Amino acid sequence: MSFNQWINSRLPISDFFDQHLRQYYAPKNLNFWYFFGSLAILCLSIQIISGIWLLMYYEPTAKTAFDSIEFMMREVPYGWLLRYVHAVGASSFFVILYFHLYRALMYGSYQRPRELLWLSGVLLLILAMAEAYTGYVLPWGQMSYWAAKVIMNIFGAIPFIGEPIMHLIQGDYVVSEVTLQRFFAFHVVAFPMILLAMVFLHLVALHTVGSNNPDGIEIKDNKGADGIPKDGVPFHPYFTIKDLVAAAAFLIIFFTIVFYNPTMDGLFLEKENFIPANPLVTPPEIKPSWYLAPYYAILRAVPNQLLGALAMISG
Amino acid sequence: MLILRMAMGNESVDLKKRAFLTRTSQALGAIAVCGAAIPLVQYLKPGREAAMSSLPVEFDLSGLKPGDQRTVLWRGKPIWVIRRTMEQVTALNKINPNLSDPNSQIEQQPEYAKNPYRSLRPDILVLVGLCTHLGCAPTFRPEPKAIDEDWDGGFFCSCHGSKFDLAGRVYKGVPAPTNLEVPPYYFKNDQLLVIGAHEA
Ligand code: FES
Repeated sequence: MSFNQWINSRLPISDFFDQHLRQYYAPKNLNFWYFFGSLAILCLSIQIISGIWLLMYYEPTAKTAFDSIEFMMREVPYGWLLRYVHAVGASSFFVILYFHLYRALMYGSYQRPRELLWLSGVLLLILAMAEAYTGYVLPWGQMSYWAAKVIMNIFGAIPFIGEPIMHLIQGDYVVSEVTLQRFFAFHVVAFPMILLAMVFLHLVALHTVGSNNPDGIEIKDNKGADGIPKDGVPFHPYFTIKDLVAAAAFLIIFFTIVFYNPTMDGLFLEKENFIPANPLVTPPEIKPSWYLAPYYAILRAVPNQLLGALAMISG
Repeated sequence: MLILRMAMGNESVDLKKRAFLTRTSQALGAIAVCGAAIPLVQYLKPGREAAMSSLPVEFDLSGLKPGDQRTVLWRGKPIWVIRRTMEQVTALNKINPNLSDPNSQIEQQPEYAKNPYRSLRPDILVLVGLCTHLGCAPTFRPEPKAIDEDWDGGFFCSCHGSKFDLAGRVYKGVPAPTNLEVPPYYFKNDQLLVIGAHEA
Protein backbone atom coordinates (compact mmCIF):
# COMPACT_ATOMS: atom_id res chain seq x y z
CA MET A 1 0.00 0.00 0.00
CA SER A 2 1.49 3.30 -1.02
CA PHE A 3 1.99 6.18 1.34
CA ASN A 4 -0.69 8.14 -0.50
CA GLN A 5 -3.19 5.35 -0.06
CA TRP A 6 -2.35 5.03 3.59
CA ILE A 7 -3.04 8.71 4.16
CA ASN A 8 -6.06 8.79 1.90
CA SER A 9 -7.87 5.93 3.53
CA ARG A 10 -7.65 7.84 6.80
CA LEU A 11 -7.79 11.44 5.67
CA PRO A 12 -9.03 11.74 2.09
CA ILE A 13 -6.99 14.75 1.04
CA SER A 14 -6.33 13.77 -2.54
CA ASP A 15 -9.87 12.45 -2.98
CA PHE A 16 -11.06 15.82 -1.80
CA PHE A 17 -8.91 17.66 -4.30
CA ASP A 18 -9.92 15.28 -7.07
CA GLN A 19 -13.53 15.86 -6.30
CA HIS A 20 -13.28 19.63 -6.14
CA LEU A 21 -10.64 20.34 -8.76
CA ARG A 22 -10.02 17.48 -11.18
CA GLN A 23 -13.58 16.21 -11.30
CA TYR A 24 -15.30 19.48 -10.72
CA TYR A 25 -16.71 20.52 -14.09
CA ALA A 26 -17.00 24.15 -14.99
CA PRO A 27 -18.74 25.40 -18.12
CA LYS A 28 -16.28 25.53 -20.98
CA ASN A 29 -17.49 28.94 -22.10
CA LEU A 30 -16.41 30.89 -19.00
CA ASN A 31 -14.82 34.17 -20.07
CA PHE A 32 -12.44 36.54 -18.28
CA TRP A 33 -15.19 37.83 -16.01
CA TYR A 34 -14.88 34.54 -14.16
CA PHE A 35 -11.33 35.32 -13.08
CA PHE A 36 -12.39 37.52 -10.25
CA GLY A 37 -13.48 34.80 -7.85
CA SER A 38 -10.08 33.19 -7.67
CA LEU A 39 -8.42 36.62 -7.71
CA ALA A 40 -10.46 37.51 -4.62
CA ILE A 41 -9.01 34.45 -2.88
CA LEU A 42 -5.54 35.57 -3.94
CA CYS A 43 -6.21 39.05 -2.52
CA LEU A 44 -7.52 37.60 0.71
CA SER A 45 -4.37 35.49 1.09
CA ILE A 46 -2.16 38.53 0.44
CA GLN A 47 -4.10 40.44 3.12
CA ILE A 48 -3.81 37.64 5.66
CA ILE A 49 -0.09 37.11 5.15
CA SER A 50 0.87 40.79 5.08
CA GLY A 51 -1.47 41.37 8.03
CA ILE A 52 0.28 38.77 10.15
CA TRP A 53 3.60 40.41 9.41
CA LEU A 54 2.29 43.91 10.21
CA LEU A 55 1.04 42.64 13.55
CA MET A 56 4.59 41.88 14.59
CA TYR A 57 5.37 45.58 15.00
CA TYR A 58 1.98 47.27 15.31
CA GLU A 59 1.01 48.51 18.79
CA PRO A 60 -2.71 49.20 19.26
CA THR A 61 -2.67 52.14 21.66
CA ALA A 62 -3.57 55.74 20.92
CA LYS A 63 -0.05 56.83 21.87
CA THR A 64 1.89 54.26 19.90
CA ALA A 65 -0.27 53.13 16.96
CA PHE A 66 0.79 55.85 14.55
CA ASP A 67 4.43 55.78 15.57
CA SER A 68 4.70 52.02 15.50
CA ILE A 69 3.59 52.02 11.86
CA GLU A 70 5.99 54.81 10.95
CA PHE A 71 8.75 52.94 12.77
CA MET A 72 7.93 49.79 10.86
CA MET A 73 8.03 51.63 7.55
CA ARG A 74 11.33 53.38 8.20
CA GLU A 75 13.34 51.02 10.36
CA VAL A 76 12.14 47.46 9.84
CA PRO A 77 13.59 45.74 6.76
CA TYR A 78 10.87 45.76 4.06
CA GLY A 79 8.39 47.19 6.56
CA TRP A 80 7.33 49.80 3.97
CA LEU A 81 6.65 47.03 1.48
CA LEU A 82 4.49 45.00 3.84
CA ARG A 83 2.50 48.04 4.88
CA TYR A 84 1.90 49.23 1.32
CA VAL A 85 1.05 45.72 0.16
CA HIS A 86 -1.60 45.58 2.89
CA ALA A 87 -2.98 49.03 2.08
CA VAL A 88 -3.01 48.56 -1.71
CA GLY A 89 -4.26 45.02 -1.09
CA ALA A 90 -7.35 46.37 0.67
CA SER A 91 -8.27 48.57 -2.26
CA SER A 92 -7.49 45.86 -4.81
CA PHE A 93 -9.69 43.49 -2.89
CA PHE A 94 -12.61 45.84 -3.42
CA VAL A 95 -11.79 46.37 -7.10
CA ILE A 96 -11.85 42.61 -7.51
CA LEU A 97 -14.99 42.19 -5.42
CA TYR A 98 -16.86 44.85 -7.36
CA PHE A 99 -15.91 43.24 -10.68
CA HIS A 100 -16.96 39.88 -9.28
CA LEU A 101 -20.28 41.32 -8.19
CA TYR A 102 -20.79 43.10 -11.51
CA ARG A 103 -20.23 39.81 -13.32
CA ALA A 104 -22.88 38.16 -11.15
CA LEU A 105 -25.35 40.96 -11.89
CA MET A 106 -24.57 41.00 -15.59
CA TYR A 107 -25.05 37.27 -16.16
CA GLY A 108 -27.86 36.83 -13.66
CA SER A 109 -25.82 34.57 -11.44
CA TYR A 110 -28.07 35.46 -8.51
CA GLN A 111 -31.02 33.59 -10.02
CA ARG A 112 -32.28 30.13 -9.18
CA PRO A 113 -30.52 27.92 -8.16
CA ARG A 114 -27.77 30.34 -7.09
CA GLU A 115 -29.73 32.55 -4.67
CA LEU A 116 -27.73 31.54 -1.62
CA LEU A 117 -24.47 31.84 -3.49
CA TRP A 118 -25.42 35.43 -4.22
CA LEU A 119 -26.62 36.14 -0.68
CA SER A 120 -23.49 34.71 0.91
CA GLY A 121 -21.54 36.90 -1.50
CA VAL A 122 -23.45 39.98 -0.37
CA LEU A 123 -22.70 39.08 3.24
CA LEU A 124 -19.05 38.69 2.29
CA LEU A 125 -19.03 42.17 0.78
CA ILE A 126 -20.51 43.65 3.95
CA LEU A 127 -17.99 41.76 6.06
CA ALA A 128 -15.17 42.97 3.84
CA MET A 129 -16.38 46.54 4.37
CA ALA A 130 -16.46 46.08 8.13
CA GLU A 131 -12.99 44.58 7.95
CA ALA A 132 -11.67 47.44 5.82
CA TYR A 133 -13.29 50.08 8.00
CA THR A 134 -11.92 48.71 11.26
CA GLY A 135 -8.54 48.31 9.59
CA TYR A 136 -8.53 51.87 8.37
CA VAL A 137 -8.90 53.10 11.96
CA LEU A 138 -5.84 51.23 13.21
CA PRO A 139 -3.05 53.57 11.94
CA TRP A 140 -4.72 56.24 14.11
CA GLY A 141 -4.07 59.04 11.64
CA GLN A 142 -6.35 62.01 11.13
CA MET A 143 -8.51 60.24 8.56
CA SER A 144 -8.65 57.08 10.68
CA TYR A 145 -9.95 59.01 13.63
CA TRP A 146 -12.45 61.23 11.90
CA ALA A 147 -13.80 58.54 9.60
CA ALA A 148 -14.29 56.34 12.64
CA LYS A 149 -16.19 59.15 14.27
CA VAL A 150 -18.45 59.80 11.30
CA ILE A 151 -19.33 56.15 10.87
CA MET A 152 -19.95 55.74 14.59
CA ASN A 153 -22.38 58.64 14.41
CA ILE A 154 -24.28 56.82 11.68
CA PHE A 155 -25.07 54.17 14.27
CA GLY A 156 -25.97 56.95 16.65
CA ALA A 157 -28.64 58.14 14.20
CA ILE A 158 -30.80 55.08 14.78
CA PRO A 159 -33.75 56.33 16.88
CA PHE A 160 -33.92 55.43 20.60
CA ILE A 161 -31.37 52.59 20.61
CA GLY A 162 -28.84 54.39 18.40
CA GLU A 163 -26.88 56.14 21.08
CA PRO A 164 -26.56 53.15 23.44
CA ILE A 165 -25.49 50.99 20.49
CA MET A 166 -22.91 53.54 19.45
CA HIS A 167 -21.53 53.69 22.98
CA LEU A 168 -21.51 49.92 23.13
CA ILE A 169 -19.50 49.61 19.92
CA GLN A 170 -16.99 52.35 20.65
CA GLY A 171 -16.77 51.55 24.36
CA ASP A 172 -16.58 55.20 25.30
CA TYR A 173 -18.64 58.35 24.88
CA VAL A 174 -16.31 59.45 22.13
CA VAL A 175 -14.06 57.58 19.73
CA SER A 176 -10.98 56.90 21.81
CA GLU A 177 -8.23 54.42 22.55
CA VAL A 178 -10.85 52.01 23.85
CA THR A 179 -12.45 52.09 20.39
CA LEU A 180 -9.08 51.60 18.75
CA GLN A 181 -8.37 48.53 20.81
CA ARG A 182 -11.67 46.84 20.15
CA PHE A 183 -11.47 47.65 16.45
CA PHE A 184 -8.08 45.98 16.59
CA ALA A 185 -9.68 42.85 18.03
CA PHE A 186 -12.41 42.94 15.36
CA HIS A 187 -10.02 43.57 12.50
CA VAL A 188 -7.41 41.03 13.47
CA VAL A 189 -9.42 38.17 14.94
CA ALA A 190 -13.19 38.37 14.79
CA PHE A 191 -13.90 39.56 11.26
CA PRO A 192 -11.21 37.51 9.50
CA MET A 193 -12.48 34.34 11.14
CA ILE A 194 -16.07 35.04 10.10
CA LEU A 195 -14.84 36.07 6.67
CA LEU A 196 -12.98 32.80 6.17
CA ALA A 197 -15.97 30.79 7.35
CA MET A 198 -18.19 32.71 4.91
CA VAL A 199 -15.72 32.12 2.06
CA PHE A 200 -15.91 28.44 2.85
CA LEU A 201 -19.72 28.49 2.73
CA HIS A 202 -19.62 30.52 -0.48
CA LEU A 203 -17.43 27.83 -2.06
CA VAL A 204 -19.60 25.02 -0.75
CA ALA A 205 -22.58 26.71 -2.37
CA LEU A 206 -20.64 27.24 -5.60
CA HIS A 207 -19.56 23.63 -5.83
CA THR A 208 -23.10 22.48 -5.18
CA VAL A 209 -24.82 24.55 -7.84
CA GLY A 210 -21.84 25.04 -10.18
CA SER A 211 -20.75 28.12 -12.04
CA ASN A 212 -23.16 30.04 -14.17
CA ASN A 213 -21.86 31.08 -17.60
CA PRO A 214 -22.35 33.90 -20.10
CA ASP A 215 -24.91 31.91 -22.08
CA GLY A 216 -26.86 30.90 -19.00
CA ILE A 217 -26.78 27.20 -19.91
CA GLU A 218 -27.12 24.69 -17.08
CA ILE A 219 -24.33 22.28 -17.94
CA LYS A 220 -25.72 19.73 -15.50
CA ASP A 221 -28.84 19.32 -17.67
CA ASN A 222 -26.84 17.79 -20.50
CA LYS A 223 -24.67 14.95 -19.32
CA GLY A 224 -22.86 12.34 -21.39
CA ALA A 225 -23.11 8.60 -20.84
CA ASP A 226 -20.27 8.81 -18.30
CA GLY A 227 -22.23 11.28 -16.19
CA ILE A 228 -19.92 14.16 -17.10
CA PRO A 229 -21.54 17.37 -18.34
CA LYS A 230 -20.94 17.60 -22.07
CA ASP A 231 -20.36 21.34 -21.92
CA GLY A 232 -18.03 21.18 -18.93
CA VAL A 233 -14.29 20.89 -18.57
CA PRO A 234 -12.48 19.88 -15.39
CA PHE A 235 -11.59 22.87 -13.28
CA HIS A 236 -8.08 21.53 -12.91
CA PRO A 237 -6.05 21.89 -15.09
CA TYR A 238 -8.14 24.00 -17.48
CA PHE A 239 -9.27 26.79 -15.22
CA THR A 240 -6.41 26.68 -12.75
CA ILE A 241 -4.08 27.43 -15.67
CA LYS A 242 -6.35 30.15 -16.96
CA ASP A 243 -6.66 31.65 -13.47
CA LEU A 244 -2.90 31.60 -13.10
CA VAL A 245 -2.56 33.85 -16.12
CA ALA A 246 -5.08 36.18 -14.52
CA ALA A 247 -3.16 36.06 -11.25
CA ALA A 248 0.06 36.98 -13.06
CA ALA A 249 -1.62 39.92 -14.79
CA PHE A 250 -3.15 41.03 -11.51
CA LEU A 251 0.14 40.81 -9.63
CA ILE A 252 1.91 42.88 -12.31
CA ILE A 253 -0.63 45.69 -11.91
CA PHE A 254 -0.72 45.27 -8.14
CA PHE A 255 3.03 45.59 -7.66
CA THR A 256 3.32 48.40 -10.17
CA ILE A 257 1.01 50.34 -7.86
CA VAL A 258 2.77 49.17 -4.70
CA PHE A 259 6.17 50.22 -6.02
CA TYR A 260 5.32 53.39 -7.93
CA ASN A 261 2.26 54.91 -6.36
CA PRO A 262 1.30 53.09 -3.17
CA THR A 263 -1.07 55.78 -1.93
CA MET A 264 -2.64 56.12 -5.42
CA ASP A 265 -2.42 59.91 -5.00
CA GLY A 266 -4.42 59.77 -1.81
CA LEU A 267 -7.08 57.40 -3.09
CA PHE A 268 -5.79 54.31 -1.29
CA LEU A 269 -4.15 56.13 1.62
CA GLU A 270 -5.26 59.71 2.20
CA LYS A 271 -2.64 62.37 2.84
CA GLU A 272 -4.32 63.28 6.11
CA ASN A 273 -3.67 59.80 7.38
CA PHE A 274 0.02 60.54 7.53
CA ILE A 275 -0.78 63.04 10.31
CA PRO A 276 -1.39 61.58 13.78
CA ALA A 277 -5.00 61.66 15.00
CA ASN A 278 -5.97 64.92 16.65
CA PRO A 279 -9.39 65.09 18.33
CA LEU A 280 -9.31 68.89 18.23
CA VAL A 281 -8.79 69.48 14.51
CA THR A 282 -10.97 68.03 11.78
CA PRO A 283 -9.34 67.70 8.37
CA PRO A 284 -10.86 70.08 5.79
CA GLU A 285 -12.61 67.26 3.97
CA ILE A 286 -13.46 63.91 5.43
CA LYS A 287 -14.04 61.36 2.78
CA PRO A 288 -14.25 57.66 3.35
CA SER A 289 -12.09 55.26 1.37
CA TRP A 290 -13.20 55.14 -2.27
CA TYR A 291 -14.81 51.73 -1.87
CA LEU A 292 -17.23 53.11 0.69
CA ALA A 293 -17.74 56.39 -1.18
CA PRO A 294 -21.01 55.52 -2.96
CA TYR A 295 -22.70 54.67 0.33
CA TYR A 296 -21.30 57.77 1.93
CA ALA A 297 -22.57 59.86 -0.99
CA ILE A 298 -26.10 58.56 -0.34
CA LEU A 299 -25.74 59.57 3.28
CA ARG A 300 -24.71 63.08 2.37
CA ALA A 301 -27.36 63.47 -0.32
CA VAL A 302 -30.23 62.99 2.13
CA PRO A 303 -30.59 66.05 4.35
CA ASN A 304 -32.22 64.13 7.20
CA GLN A 305 -29.79 62.29 9.46
CA LEU A 306 -31.93 59.23 10.07
CA LEU A 307 -33.35 58.96 6.55
CA GLY A 308 -29.89 59.38 5.12
CA ALA A 309 -28.52 56.57 7.23
CA LEU A 310 -31.46 54.37 6.30
CA ALA A 311 -31.04 55.09 2.59
CA MET A 312 -27.37 54.29 2.86
CA ILE A 313 -27.91 50.97 4.58
CA SER A 314 -30.61 49.88 2.12
CA GLY A 315 -28.35 50.98 -0.73
CA MET B 1 -4.18 11.19 -16.29
CA LEU B 2 -7.28 12.97 -17.25
CA ILE B 3 -5.30 15.44 -19.24
CA LEU B 4 -3.85 12.52 -21.22
CA ARG B 5 -7.28 11.06 -21.90
CA MET B 6 -8.55 14.39 -23.10
CA ALA B 7 -5.53 14.71 -25.32
CA MET B 8 -6.09 11.34 -27.01
CA GLY B 9 -8.65 12.66 -29.42
CA ASN B 10 -6.22 15.21 -30.71
CA GLU B 11 -3.34 13.73 -32.73
CA SER B 12 -1.26 16.89 -32.77
CA VAL B 13 -0.66 17.12 -29.00
CA ASP B 14 3.06 17.32 -28.27
CA LEU B 15 3.41 15.75 -24.84
CA LYS B 16 7.10 16.55 -24.61
CA LYS B 17 6.42 20.19 -25.15
CA ARG B 18 3.65 20.06 -22.59
CA ALA B 19 5.93 18.46 -20.01
CA PHE B 20 8.56 21.08 -20.74
CA LEU B 21 6.05 23.89 -20.26
CA THR B 22 4.80 22.34 -17.02
CA ARG B 23 8.28 22.04 -15.64
CA THR B 24 9.36 25.54 -16.64
CA SER B 25 6.29 27.09 -15.11
CA GLN B 26 6.84 25.08 -11.94
CA ALA B 27 10.44 26.27 -11.80
CA LEU B 28 9.44 29.88 -12.39
CA GLY B 29 6.74 29.54 -9.75
CA ALA B 30 9.30 28.24 -7.28
CA ILE B 31 11.56 31.21 -8.04
CA ALA B 32 8.64 33.58 -7.52
CA VAL B 33 7.82 32.01 -4.16
CA CYS B 34 11.46 32.33 -3.05
CA GLY B 35 11.50 35.95 -4.20
CA ALA B 36 8.34 36.70 -2.23
CA ALA B 37 9.86 35.02 0.81
CA ILE B 38 12.84 37.42 0.85
CA PRO B 39 11.03 40.47 2.29
CA LEU B 40 8.98 38.28 4.61
CA VAL B 41 12.11 36.70 6.09
CA GLN B 42 14.19 39.89 6.11
CA TYR B 43 11.38 41.58 8.04
CA LEU B 44 11.83 39.08 10.87
CA LYS B 45 15.50 39.93 11.42
CA PRO B 46 16.57 41.98 14.45
CA GLY B 47 16.20 45.59 13.38
CA ARG B 48 18.30 48.65 13.96
CA GLU B 49 16.93 49.11 17.47
CA ALA B 50 18.18 45.67 18.45
CA ALA B 51 21.54 46.48 16.88
CA MET B 52 21.72 49.65 19.00
CA SER B 53 21.30 47.68 22.20
CA SER B 54 24.33 45.61 21.25
CA LEU B 55 26.64 48.65 21.36
CA PRO B 56 29.31 48.46 24.11
CA VAL B 57 28.36 49.80 27.54
CA GLU B 58 30.68 51.49 30.05
CA PHE B 59 30.89 50.74 33.74
CA ASP B 60 32.55 52.84 36.42
CA LEU B 61 34.50 50.69 38.87
CA SER B 62 35.15 53.35 41.50
CA GLY B 63 32.09 52.50 43.61
CA LEU B 64 32.79 48.76 43.57
CA LYS B 65 34.27 47.52 46.86
CA PRO B 66 36.01 44.14 47.22
CA GLY B 67 33.32 41.44 47.47
CA ASP B 68 30.72 43.55 45.64
CA GLN B 69 28.65 42.44 42.69
CA ARG B 70 26.87 44.70 40.17
CA THR B 71 24.75 43.83 37.17
CA VAL B 72 24.62 45.82 33.92
CA LEU B 73 22.54 45.14 30.85
CA TRP B 74 24.24 44.50 27.53
CA ARG B 75 22.37 43.10 24.50
CA GLY B 76 19.49 42.49 26.86
CA LYS B 77 21.59 40.12 28.93
CA PRO B 78 22.65 40.64 32.55
CA ILE B 79 26.41 41.15 32.82
CA TRP B 80 27.97 40.75 36.23
CA VAL B 81 30.88 42.82 37.38
CA ILE B 82 32.46 41.52 40.59
CA ARG B 83 35.48 42.74 42.52
CA ARG B 84 36.96 39.65 44.20
CA THR B 85 38.86 39.92 47.49
CA MET B 86 42.53 38.95 47.75
CA GLU B 87 41.66 35.65 49.49
CA GLN B 88 39.13 34.74 46.82
CA VAL B 89 41.70 35.42 44.10
CA THR B 90 44.42 33.30 45.71
CA ALA B 91 41.95 30.49 46.32
CA LEU B 92 41.31 30.28 42.58
CA ASN B 93 44.92 29.20 41.98
CA LYS B 94 44.68 25.90 43.80
CA ILE B 95 43.50 23.09 41.56
CA ASN B 96 39.98 22.00 42.44
CA PRO B 97 39.33 18.38 41.30
CA ASN B 98 35.57 18.97 41.33
CA LEU B 99 35.62 21.41 38.42
CA SER B 100 34.80 19.96 35.02
CA ASP B 101 36.81 22.43 32.92
CA PRO B 102 39.30 24.10 35.32
CA ASN B 103 41.59 25.36 32.55
CA SER B 104 38.80 26.85 30.43
CA GLN B 105 39.50 24.61 27.45
CA ILE B 106 36.01 25.13 26.03
CA GLU B 107 35.55 28.39 24.13
CA GLN B 108 33.48 30.32 26.63
CA GLN B 109 35.78 33.32 26.96
CA PRO B 110 37.96 35.63 24.89
CA GLU B 111 41.64 34.59 24.65
CA TYR B 112 42.67 37.13 27.33
CA ALA B 113 40.38 35.55 29.92
CA LYS B 114 41.74 32.05 29.47
CA ASN B 115 43.52 31.93 32.82
CA PRO B 116 42.71 30.67 36.34
CA TYR B 117 40.81 33.90 37.13
CA ARG B 118 39.03 33.94 33.79
CA SER B 119 39.54 37.69 33.68
CA LEU B 120 41.88 40.43 32.46
CA ARG B 121 42.65 41.69 35.95
CA PRO B 122 42.72 39.06 38.72
CA ASP B 123 40.39 41.06 40.97
CA ILE B 124 37.71 42.14 38.44
CA LEU B 125 35.47 39.37 37.14
CA VAL B 126 33.12 40.04 34.22
CA LEU B 127 30.62 37.33 33.33
CA VAL B 128 27.43 36.90 31.36
CA GLY B 129 25.03 36.20 34.21
CA LEU B 130 23.14 33.40 32.49
CA CYS B 131 23.40 29.73 33.37
CA THR B 132 24.84 27.66 30.53
CA HIS B 133 22.23 25.01 31.15
CA LEU B 134 18.93 26.64 30.17
CA GLY B 135 19.60 30.32 30.71
CA CYS B 136 18.38 31.06 34.23
CA ALA B 137 20.17 33.75 36.22
CA PRO B 138 22.34 32.10 38.92
CA THR B 139 22.81 33.87 42.25
CA PHE B 140 26.10 35.13 43.66
CA ARG B 141 26.81 33.19 46.87
CA PRO B 142 30.33 34.15 47.98
CA GLU B 143 29.94 32.85 51.57
CA PRO B 144 31.56 29.43 52.14
CA LYS B 145 29.20 26.59 53.08
CA ALA B 146 26.23 28.62 51.87
CA ILE B 147 24.93 25.89 49.56
CA ASP B 148 26.41 22.72 51.01
CA GLU B 149 29.31 21.50 53.16
CA ASP B 150 31.96 21.79 50.40
CA TRP B 151 30.82 25.15 49.05
CA ASP B 152 33.75 27.58 48.68
CA GLY B 153 31.70 30.45 47.36
CA GLY B 154 30.59 30.95 43.77
CA PHE B 155 27.40 31.05 41.77
CA PHE B 156 24.42 28.79 42.32
CA CYS B 157 21.66 28.32 39.80
CA SER B 158 18.45 27.58 41.63
CA CYS B 159 16.63 26.40 38.49
CA HIS B 160 18.26 22.97 38.30
CA GLY B 161 21.06 23.26 40.82
CA SER B 162 24.12 24.07 38.69
CA LYS B 163 27.17 25.28 40.61
CA PHE B 164 30.02 27.53 39.47
CA ASP B 165 33.10 28.74 41.35
CA LEU B 166 34.18 32.36 41.79
CA ALA B 167 35.67 32.38 38.29
CA GLY B 168 32.43 31.06 36.78
CA ARG B 169 33.89 27.57 36.26
CA VAL B 170 31.28 24.84 36.32
CA TYR B 171 31.41 21.99 38.83
CA LYS B 172 31.20 18.33 37.86
CA GLY B 173 27.91 16.48 38.12
CA VAL B 174 25.55 19.42 37.53
CA PRO B 175 23.26 20.00 34.56
CA ALA B 176 25.19 22.98 33.14
CA PRO B 177 27.67 21.68 30.52
CA THR B 178 30.18 24.55 30.35
CA ASN B 179 31.70 27.41 32.32
CA LEU B 180 29.83 30.69 32.46
CA GLU B 181 30.48 32.88 29.41
CA VAL B 182 32.90 35.82 29.62
CA PRO B 183 31.82 38.68 27.35
CA PRO B 184 34.38 40.74 25.41
CA TYR B 185 35.57 43.69 27.50
CA TYR B 186 38.55 45.92 28.21
CA PHE B 187 39.65 48.65 30.63
CA LYS B 188 39.64 52.17 29.20
CA ASN B 189 41.55 53.27 32.27
CA ASP B 190 41.91 52.07 35.85
CA GLN B 191 38.36 52.90 36.80
CA LEU B 192 36.48 52.54 33.54
CA LEU B 193 35.36 49.18 32.21
CA VAL B 194 33.96 48.81 28.67
CA ILE B 195 31.73 45.77 28.16
CA GLY B 196 30.86 44.46 24.71
CA ALA B 197 34.05 45.15 22.76
CA HIS B 198 37.64 44.00 22.64
CA GLU B 199 40.37 46.59 23.08
CA ALA B 200 40.88 48.25 19.71
S1 FES C 1 19.22 26.72 34.06
FE1 FES C 1 20.70 26.75 35.61
S2 FES C 1 20.71 24.76 36.22
FE2 FES C 1 19.28 24.67 34.63
